[in-house]
Formats: sequence, C-alpha cells, structure tokens
Amino acid sequence: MALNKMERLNKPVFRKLRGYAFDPSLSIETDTVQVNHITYKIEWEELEEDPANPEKTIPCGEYVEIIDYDPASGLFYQPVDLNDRYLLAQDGLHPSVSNPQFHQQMVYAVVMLTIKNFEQALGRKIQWSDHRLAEPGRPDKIRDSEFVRRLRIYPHALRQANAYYHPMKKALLFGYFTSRPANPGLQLPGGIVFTCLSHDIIAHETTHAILDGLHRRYIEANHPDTRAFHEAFADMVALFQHFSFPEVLNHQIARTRGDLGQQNLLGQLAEQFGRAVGGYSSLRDAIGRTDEATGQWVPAKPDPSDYATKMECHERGAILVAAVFDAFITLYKQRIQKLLHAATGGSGILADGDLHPVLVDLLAETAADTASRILRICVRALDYCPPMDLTYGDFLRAVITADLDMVADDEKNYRVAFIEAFQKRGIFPAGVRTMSVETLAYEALPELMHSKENMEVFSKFLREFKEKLAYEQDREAIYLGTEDFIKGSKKVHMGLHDRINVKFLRSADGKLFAGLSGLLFPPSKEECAELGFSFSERTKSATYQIENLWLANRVSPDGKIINHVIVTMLQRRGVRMSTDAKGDIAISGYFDPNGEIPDDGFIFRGGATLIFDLDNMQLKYVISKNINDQERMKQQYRFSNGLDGEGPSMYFDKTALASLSGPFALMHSFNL
Amino acid sequence: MNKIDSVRVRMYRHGFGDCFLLRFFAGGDTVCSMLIDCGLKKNDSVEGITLEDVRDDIVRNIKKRGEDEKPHLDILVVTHEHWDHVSGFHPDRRLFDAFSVGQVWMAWTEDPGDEDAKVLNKGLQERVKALQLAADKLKEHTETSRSFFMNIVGGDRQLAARESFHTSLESVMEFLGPFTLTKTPGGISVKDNFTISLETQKAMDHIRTLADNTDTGIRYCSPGDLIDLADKLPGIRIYVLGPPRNKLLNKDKPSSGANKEVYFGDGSLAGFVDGILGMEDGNAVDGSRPFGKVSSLPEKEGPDQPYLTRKGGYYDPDCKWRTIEEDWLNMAGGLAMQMDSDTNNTSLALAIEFKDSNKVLLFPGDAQVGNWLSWHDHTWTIQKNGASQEINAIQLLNNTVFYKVGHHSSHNATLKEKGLELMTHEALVAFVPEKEKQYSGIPYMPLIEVLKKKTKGRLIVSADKTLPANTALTTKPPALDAAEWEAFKTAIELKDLYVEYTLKG
Repeated sequence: MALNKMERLNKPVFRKLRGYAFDPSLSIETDTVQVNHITYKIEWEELEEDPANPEKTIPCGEYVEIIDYDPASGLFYQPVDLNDRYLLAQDGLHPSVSNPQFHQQMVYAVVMLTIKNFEQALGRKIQWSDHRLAEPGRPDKIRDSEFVRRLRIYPHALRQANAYYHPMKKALLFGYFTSRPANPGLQLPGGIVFTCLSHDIIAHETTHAILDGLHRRYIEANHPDTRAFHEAFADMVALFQHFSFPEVLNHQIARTRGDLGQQNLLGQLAEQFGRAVGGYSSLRDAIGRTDEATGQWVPAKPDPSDYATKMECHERGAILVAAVFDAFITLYKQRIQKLLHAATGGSGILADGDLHPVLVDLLAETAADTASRILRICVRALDYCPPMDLTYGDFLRAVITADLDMVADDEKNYRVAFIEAFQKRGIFPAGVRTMSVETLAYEALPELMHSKENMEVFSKFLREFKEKLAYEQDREAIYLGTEDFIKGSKKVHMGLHDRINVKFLRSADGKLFAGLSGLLFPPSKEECAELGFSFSERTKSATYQIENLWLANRVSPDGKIINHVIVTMLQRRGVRMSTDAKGDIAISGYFDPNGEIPDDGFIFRGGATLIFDLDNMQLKYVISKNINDQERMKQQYRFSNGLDGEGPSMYFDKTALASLSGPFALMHSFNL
Repeated sequence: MNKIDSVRVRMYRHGFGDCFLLRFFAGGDTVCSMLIDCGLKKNDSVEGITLEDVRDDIVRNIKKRGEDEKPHLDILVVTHEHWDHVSGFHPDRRLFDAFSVGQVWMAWTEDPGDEDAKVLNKGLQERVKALQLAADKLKEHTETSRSFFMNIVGGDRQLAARESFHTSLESVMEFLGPFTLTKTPGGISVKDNFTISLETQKAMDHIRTLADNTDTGIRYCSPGDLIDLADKLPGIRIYVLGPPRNKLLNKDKPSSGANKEVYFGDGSLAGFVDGILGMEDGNAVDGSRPFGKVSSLPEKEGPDQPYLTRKGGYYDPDCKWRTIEEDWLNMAGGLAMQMDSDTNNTSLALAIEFKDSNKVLLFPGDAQVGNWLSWHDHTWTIQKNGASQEINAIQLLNNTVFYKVGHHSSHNATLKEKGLELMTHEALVAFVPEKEKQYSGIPYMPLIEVLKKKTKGRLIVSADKTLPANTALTTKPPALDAAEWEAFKTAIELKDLYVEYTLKG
C-alpha cells in the first residue's frame, strides 16, 4: 500500500488493545479487578482486507492469522475487524468472556507482544519453523521447505483443559472447558474457562512456537532437560512479561507496606499470577508458598539436589524458572536499596501507613525494568545455545557468555546473580569445574583456521550476507535470501555449505574445524559407513546440515552496536546399542542414518553453534555438542528408552501421542 | 472354633488379570476360603493355562458341602467392575455355576439401592457412548486421510501414531469389557439398562446370583466398616478402606506438592461429551456451546466465505495440512483414562488383619490415588485386651506384611507418601498380577524397583516374562539375610498355574 506523505507521517506507531492482564477469573475478585484490565500497546501493523468487503479487515497480519473455528460446536465465529473505526477510537473491544471477537483481540494482543519482546532481544525478526514438503508418496523424503509467514491461531479449537502449539500444523490450539476448580471461589461458578483469555497461557504457547522457529531440534526429548527447558522457557517468558507491566505491580506494591524489606512481595505476586488459570502449580511451588497457618508467604528453599533428583518434566522445568526468578529477586533487591534509603532519610525503615505514591511508582518501575532485562538476557542467550540437546548447564553458560558480550562490565552483578541462583539448585554445566564468570563463559576467539587469508574470504562472505539482509523488512525475502546464502543460488555464488566444504573441510585446516565443531568428517565412503554417517558424493565425506544462518544486530545498554552472524550446524549418526545380562549398555556398532533404523539403533546428533563477529572478522565462539561423545549416546539411549525412570505414561505410548498432536499437547494440564 | 493361625494366598498365573484364593487355617484345618476376583483381560491368555484350569484348582482346594458335594466358597470378594477382574463370572462361561458361595462382598458402589451409587452410575451411559463415537470418528478420519498423510513429511509416523492411538484406546476400553453397542445409521444406540459394558454387567449380575441366600447373601461394604465374623474367620478382623464416598473418587493421578490437587472429573469432560453427542445428531445444539446468541456461522457454510477460501485461508487446499477438524477428538484418550480411573477408584479395598499379631494383608483392588488417600479419613474402633483402641490407616499400612500390588503395578495405583512409604514392616512380601506387553506403562518399572527395595526382593510377578517369578526363588536378593531367605523360600510354593505364599499369623 503506497502512502502519501501525510499518511506516512500520521501512521500510528501503536495499536492499543484492551485485555486482561491475567485472565477473567481475577476480574471477579475485588482485590484484583482494578489491575486485571490493562491496555496492551502493540506495534502497529497493517491487517489483511476481508475479501468480501475491502472496508473491513480480518485478524491476519504479518506474523499471525486468527481463525476462529470451533469444530466441537461446528461453528465459525465472525472475525474481529481491529481496524473498525469505533474499535480504534476506544482501544478495541471491551474485555468480555462472552464475546468471541474479544477473545480474538486478546490472543492477538498477547501473541504480538510476545513476538515483539523476542525480536527486541534477538535483534532480528523472528521466523516460524518452516514447513517441509515430502516427495509425493514418500513421507520419509523431504523434497523442499517452505516459508511459513503466519502462525495459525485457533482460539476455540478444543473442548478440554488444554492448549498447545502444534509444530506440524504451525498452529496454536486453545481449548475451553467447564470449570470445576479446587478453589471454587476463584472461577466463575459453572462457567466456561477459556484458555485463550489467559495472558500466561497465550504467552507460554507463543514461546513454544518461537522457540521451535529458532531451534527446531529442541522439541526432541533426548535428555531430561530438553522438554523441561521448552516448558520452563515458556513459563519464564509468561512470568517476566507479566512483571514488565508496571501498572500491575504498582497496585500490588501500594497495598503492601512495611515489609518491603522482607522482599517477599514479588514472590508472592508470582504466586498470585500462578493462581490464575494457566498458572503452573509446579512453578508456584518452586518459588514459594503461603503458609496456611500464618498467612505469610515463605520462599521455597532451593535444594542443591534438585537438579539431580527432579526428573518429571514440569518439576524439572520449575527448577529453571525458580533459578531465574531467584536471580531476578536478588537484582531487584539490590536496585531498590538506594530508593528505600532516599525515601526514608537514610534509615531504610519505612514509616507506618501508605507508601508515598512516587515511591510506589519508582519501585514498580524498577521491578518492571529488572524483569524486562532478565527476559532479554534469557532470550538473547538462545543465540549462544547449541542447536540440539540443550541442558540447563548449557543455558547458564549461554546466559553468561551472551551477557559478557553485551555488557563488558557487570557493575550490577547480573551474571553473579545468575550463577548463584543456578548453583543453589545444583545446576552445574558438564566439564566446568568451578562456577565463575570466567569458567562459565565460552572460550572467546577460538582458532578456526591457520590461514588468515581464508578466514578473511570467509568473513567477507558473511559480511555480504549482512549487507544483503540487514535492511530487508520482508520476512519471506529474509527467509529466501538466507536459503540462498546457505545453499548457493544464481544470486549467491557458492553458498555457506560449499564454502565450509572448500575453506575448511577440504583445506589443511579440516582437522581443526572438525575438532572445534565437534563433528566428524571421515574421508571415504567406507569409513562413513563404518562410523555411521551418510556419505555425500559431492563433498566426498559425511553429510551435515546447516540449520540456521542468523544475523544478530543488537545495541548494548551502553550504546555499543553488536554485529554477529550465527551459524548452526547439525550432523546425524546411526548408533546401535546393546544391553548385557547385567543391564549395562554399550555401543555395539553404527548404521547409515539415512537407511532403515535397526531395532537396536537410534539417530544420534551432534552439532555446533558458531558465532562470528563481523566487525573484527573473526570467529568469536563455538558452542558444540560432540558427535563422538559416547557418554551422551548412552545417556540418550537410556533416557529415550525410559531406563532413567522418566515420568509415567499409562496405556498410551508417549511417542505415539507426541506424533499425534505434537509433543506439547501432552505437557499441559492446567491448574484450576 | 480354633483361632486362625495362618493363611495361604494363592495368586493364579493365567495372564493379565486378578484371581486370588485365600485359605485360612487353624492348626491344620481349613477354616475359611475366600476368592478375590477372577478375571482375565480381553484377548489375553497364557499358553496352557485357562480360566477353567484356575477354576479346577480352586475346586480341588476348597471344601465340599452338602449332599451333592458342591465346592463351597465361604466368601467371594469382587473388587470392581472391570473385565480383568470379573470376566470369570460371565454367565456364558458357567465357571462357578456348580459352586455354593456363602457370602458375596462388593463395594457400596454396586448397591442398587445406594443413592450415591445411583448418582455415580448416572452419566456413565452418555460417556461410554461418546467414547465409542469419538473412537470411531477418529478411526474413520485416519482411514480417509491415509493418502493425505502419505504425502506429507513425517506422515508415515503420524499414521503409525494414530493407529497406535486407536489400538491403545481400544485396549483401555477393554478394561470396561466388551462393548456390545449396535451401530445404527445415525450412530450408536446404547441400551438403557446397562452401565458401561453389557457383558461386564452380565458378569456382575451373575455374581449376585451366586450368593447363597441361606447365608448373609450380598454384603455391600462401605469405608469405615469393620468386619468381624467369629464363625467364619475367628481371630481375623477385616477393615474396609475404600472406595470413598467423596470427591476423591475422581482423583486418579498422583500429585506432587500440596497445591497440586487437580480435579478434572466430570466437569471438564462434560463439554467434550456434549460436543460429540451434538455432532452425531445434526439438529441438536449441544448445551456446551460456549457462546449464546453471538454471530456465528455453521461450519457447512464456511466454504462459501471468501475470507476462509482466500489463499492461505482455512479452506485453501494448499493449507489442508493446517486444518484442525479432528484434533479435539483426541481427548477421547483422556476420556477413556478418566472412565477407567473412575471405575478403578470404586475398588473395594480391604485390610485383613490377624487379631493377635496385627499382621495385615492388603488387597486394594485397582484403587487409585483418590481411593488410597481417603483411607486416612477413617478410624476404626476395635477391642483389644478388654480395652477399646482406635486404629487408623497408618497403623494398618505399617503392619502390612502382604501387599497385592494395585492395578497390575501401574504408576497411579500405589500411593507413595501416604501408601507405600508407610509399609515399613520388615517382613513385607508383594505379589503383582501382571503380564508383559499388555499396556504401555504397565508395569511401571520405577514402582517395581521401589517395591523390590521395600520387600527386600520378596516380590513376585504372576505372568510377566520380563520379570520371571522363578528368579525370585533362585537368586538370593542381597538385602535379605540367610534366615529371611530360607524362610521366604519355604513359605513360597511356585507352580506354573499359581504361586502361593503361606503367612503365619
């Protein structure tokens, strides 16, 4: 749509939409009704025209399309026209449980807010995981991949207490159900609970989708941490997004007095968040609980054995959320000390009575700002994570390394707070002996190749990539352009894949590269077969895949501009395992991962994330998972065969259920 | 009559199903015989062992009575209405028709005159109908989408998953017993006179006819009851632990953390059931539609809407892979599990105690978490040494020396904290009626491990080839001392047909 100058000048920056801060249940409690209605400020975007009526729009924008189909009722609900002038004039529809169009508006607002939070932290546009097309009649052969512009959102897809991201359909499915709460006071009695009206559920499910778009392999359950991480990360985004609404905090802070020094307020708030629909009870328990006898909120004591003993996915997820929340509390406490002293004439002791409104504002702003920062730190860390088999330890190392890149001088102790919080719960990264910033941060500037010349040529290529795509606004063009740079095309002479072959694998530095990336490149067909790799005729070595090529363009808090290119590589290997009479397992051989999988075999992956610094034309970090790591092979085998005492699955085979509606359909049952 | 001083518990090894014969002895004489359940999962058997063999063995081991020398069971206990516990009593099999039975014990939930039981059984009809409909629809959808799946990446795996789901769904429905629903063009009609499965119901009804009316007939047991039969079971007390009469009946899963009590129960499933029944009857508007008179469009008019047929819209054929017609039906799995749990929780749970030594044999049927939890709501007043004494579930669990593992050792039928953790008796022995590869998740290996620890290795599984019963007698578990090991071996008799444990009071 071509706009004239006046239109360009007047184009709104935001679209304001009213919605629930939590979910409708809190609107019937007088305590919370005032804070439950907030106005979401969403970056303005154009919406698709309704083909039947060009005056109107349908809820379908750049990132999402909302289709309000309710198959259980056999109905479609009218799409909301968010550009309707009456709606524009009053910040959208009034929050209402009984109006499906408001439901669409609420989902739209929260999904878009979550997307924008991610983009801000990552320094690039997010993409959904792409759609893979099969050879006709050959569901095992990928013919091509297709850009997915929009995530589908079905606000009323299910009649059950569930909501999930469906990775095959690239869709969020929300359910509704008749409420039957453990605490009848909290829900609308006999009423219907809509999961699509809960901020936390929407943010949570959106995060699953975004994470899947970033790291496709993270949905594979190879390790007790992998699924738990997906859940925990989704919870974290929901939680910290909540804390970033100052208006919600404002009200709660004003109500508490005197005990600000105790600093249980935020934990208590988190517990209240958790009480709303979609609050994850394991999360609540991990942070703390209200003692029924005294009515006082008591923070949960972290147990250093938590990480080693809690294997159930949600419980394990809660460990991570609690750790990050712990860091948040520590930092908030530090930051408000000065405010408290200033407000109390230096004594730090608050007088009786209401808090001064300015102080309330300052405290709320500080909490909101700290929450946003924590959220950004965590999201940014995703670029520093290995492309598969992520463990909590890997995540901690990613957080520390990413933050080190962003803020050279850790004056506010963010990194220390993270390390402490993880340590308290027994989360130690493999191979790291002591927990300190220096040991946890990945080694900077590893030597990738001896030939400086080669490195320059390679860096120039990455710069070209940046120049080509840094200013591209269209996500499909970014997707296609990136694909060109990976595979090579008419527009891009020699793609990244070929360049890695030529500049690294087949150069004198081949061994160095293999060592750094943790991948293996046996030089002949026979050796590939023997070691369990697929052989590529083109490269005359083992196949590997470049999964992602990203640009990260971020501005640090002190105004530094960071220009990185991130490459993730993956390799597959067929591993066979045998079990002896004593139940001990051992690797008994390998097989071609592109062939039939034998009964005692499974696909094992190795991979690496390479971070290049464009300004200095150097490889900054390599984060790798070794394809030859026999311990990891055994661990994966034990875990996927349930030998580690994973959670129970009754009657229905877990893997079958996971393929049925995607792994996330199983994970969520909401606490009511 | 002399006091009972020992009991022999015989677990039959006929397959996935429960059948336990208990014989109580005073001196060398059999004083009383008690049969707890007799059933076998549908489509399961162990080669060379039929339910007839089991019956014949029972005949050989109990007393005969009357002129015609009928084999006489003093007490028949039926824990709950599941095929794998009652199929042996189906009228067509006539297995026990030649028996005389003194008393039949059932849970209060089977009492046709009980008001709570009536409420409980109401609604089951609709649910079973919905379940069958949903299962059929899903299957139909899989069949019609076969070619669609074969043309999408990973579609073969999805197809396989769907098929496995159908199979699992059917096998969970098998617990309920064979469905005898007649299919009509409009769907399925269910006869109004049965609750879940006509065949299971027939078996249950047949059991009622077995009770000898010259004795006490049928006894419906309620939690909190104390059964003390001086004439039949001198020296023995029986505590009725469950099924509960409260909301815990619906609680099926273990929870972690005090606030994790999730009650799904009927409430959250009602909408699902309504939706399916509404879908079946095209004209009916189901009562669970979420919105009143808002502007909506019947789905059949969807394909006429330009916004739905536009490129990228819901009806764009290129986007068929993103449609969601059948996703909500997958909840049938949840519904089946819920119905299964609900019935399991109606299990009659009994603690059989030797009055003098207080040793307890625990038979919980297939009771799940809610049932177990409710045991702690009761106390029983007993007379001991001339004084009255209060007994609670903790004491009973502490004194348990024999445990019939609930629900074939699934994860949700042995409560941890308020159950197994309380079974601290050093002489604990556990029997598991279970067979391999019948259900995913059964046996639940972590539970088996804990049970092994608790019993110091004195754990015997009836028919699972991966957990062979004979190894329990050939290899001394490290935790047992030599004397315990000898005692255990002497107390166990292992045959192909059964395994028997002799417990001295």
